Amino acid sequence: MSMTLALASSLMILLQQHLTMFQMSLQNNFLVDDAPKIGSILNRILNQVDHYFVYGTKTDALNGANPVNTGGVAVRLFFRTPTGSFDQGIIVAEASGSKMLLNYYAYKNGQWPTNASWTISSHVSGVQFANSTGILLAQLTGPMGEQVTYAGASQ
Amino acid sequence: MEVTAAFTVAMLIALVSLQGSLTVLTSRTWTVMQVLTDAYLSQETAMENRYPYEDLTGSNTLWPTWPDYWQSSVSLGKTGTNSGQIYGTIQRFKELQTPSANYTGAETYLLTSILTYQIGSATYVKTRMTLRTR
Repeated sequence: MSMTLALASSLMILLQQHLTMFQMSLQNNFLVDDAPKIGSILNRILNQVDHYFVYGTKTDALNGANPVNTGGVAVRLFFRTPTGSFDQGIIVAEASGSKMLLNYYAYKNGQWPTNASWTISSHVSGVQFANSTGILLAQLTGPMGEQVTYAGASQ
Repeated sequence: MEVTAAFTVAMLIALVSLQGSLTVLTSRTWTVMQVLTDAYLSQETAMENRYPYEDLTGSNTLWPTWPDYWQSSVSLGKTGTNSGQIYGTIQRFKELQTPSANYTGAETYLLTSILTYQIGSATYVKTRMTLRTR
């Protein structure tokens, strides 16, 4: 009887370990699944940019005031059009409820939209932009504290 | 007798599942390192393209002319809150591609960045190259 109990216990422990392992692999998928997609989208956008400014807040980015070199949460982008004028957009990391969103705002008809034009990712827990080395760096932090840094305009 | 057989089967199941878990973890570590190193090398490519030409050919350049090279330890990122920074080693150098007796005055350098990193006990290398012309 006691041996049967020991056998059953060991099999239960084995099952528990499998479940824990499965849960861990589900939680730690930011670097494997999300980060490369975010990096690819940022690279595609930033490769089209004529010039950009990094800002510490979304309000500063909207107003074009107080650009910074490090610790930025928003980047204002200027795209040159065939007529020589500029289209503009802003990439900003902002909280929405308990979530952090990496949003894109497209300047249309002479004004910025109230709501984001589209969301690049809702799986980040933090984004920091910097321009301290002469290239635009976007440091992404994942929900489990993962960190990876992509460079914009790398082509 | 039956109990011994049952324990043996349970042990075999445990060993097979451990093998499976290790296979999954190993391939996952490989994928994570590819993501981190590719992301870091996007910075190298951007730097190779944006680095001012005057600085490139200056005495304190980050891309000395081969066989000299510039070397530094660099942070690739983190895999989680409790993990420390993951580091690699970067080596940079440039090579002149145009002949020295070049009547056009054009000058082209091939900039090379070599990232060395480790997965387990094995060492791997990735490179990025960019041509710069003046």
